[in-house]
Amino acid sequence: MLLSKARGKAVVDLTTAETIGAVTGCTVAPSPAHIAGLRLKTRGRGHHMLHWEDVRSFGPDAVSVEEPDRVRDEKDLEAGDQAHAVHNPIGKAVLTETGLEKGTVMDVEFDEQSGRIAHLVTADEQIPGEDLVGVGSYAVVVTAPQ
Amino acid sequence: MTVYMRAGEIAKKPVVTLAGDDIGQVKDIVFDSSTGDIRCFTLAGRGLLSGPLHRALLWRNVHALGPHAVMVRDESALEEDDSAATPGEDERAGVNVLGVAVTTRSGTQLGRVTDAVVATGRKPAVAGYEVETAERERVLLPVAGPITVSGERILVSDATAQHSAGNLGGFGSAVEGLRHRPVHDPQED
Repeated sequence: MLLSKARGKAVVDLTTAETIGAVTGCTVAPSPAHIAGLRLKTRGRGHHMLHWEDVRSFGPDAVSVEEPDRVRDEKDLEAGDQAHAVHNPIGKAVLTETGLEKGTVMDVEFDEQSGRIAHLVTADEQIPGEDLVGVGSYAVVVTAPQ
Repeated sequence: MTVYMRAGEIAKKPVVTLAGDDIGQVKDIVFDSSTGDIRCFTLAGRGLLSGPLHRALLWRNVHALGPHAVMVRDESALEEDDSAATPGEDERAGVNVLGVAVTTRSGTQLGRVTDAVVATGRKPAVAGYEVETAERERVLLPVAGPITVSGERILVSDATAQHSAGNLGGFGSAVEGLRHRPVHDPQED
């Protein structure tokens, strides 16, 4: 599934059947490349994060969560946390390990069961998930072709 | 194919870890006047208002040098201070590769160094120098094999003068030409 298609999906609390919020983005972590967290827009102010492990299921129309208290305010996360917003790849420059820029990440294609990332999508190409080295404040680093 | 860039172009490039964080930007390039190589970079913090970082990045700790960024493994690649950027005791202060004369072994002065040419990639290295000739022309001279460097001049082989390039696009073939030149140069004159 493409992240752009997952955007706006309702996040539902399985115990109360209430909507907690909507998916706005994600954070990713390398080795192997996977979705580390989902960014949510909730009713209150600011953004909230949900760790991928706390997602019960990622359905075609909604994301279900068993423990809604696991949804945390983005400000409470430490920078080292893989779900911290600094690891959001969307809109960041792609930089190879050898310091060459190749476009901007526009979208992420992932498996909604495992959270594994199939491709990072830029305007020009699809970069395989296994090439991902890291996502930080400045860029998405990928391995360089030998 | 190796891509070359002028050392001066490295200034202002971000220093990025493999985790994707920018931990500084290159402020200055410090040459080692005893070898003609780059010794280290001094760094500035990122952002318009940030001052010097006072942490040097040694050349050997650079993971890769690219046209858009200087890559390092992580933040531990930086030195704790910038003492590496100050000249050692055995060197005379103020000695720099920039401005020194380039002379062939047979005694022809080719010009003065205005910049170094660096091969980018995983094993970045100084591959040559940009030299301003007496006619105020700027040419790129590849260096290969043993060169001798002092604070006053860089001595290069006589063949170097025949393999200069006018721009970075032609520099790669100049390096190849110098490297694969016949041992006994047939064009003796």
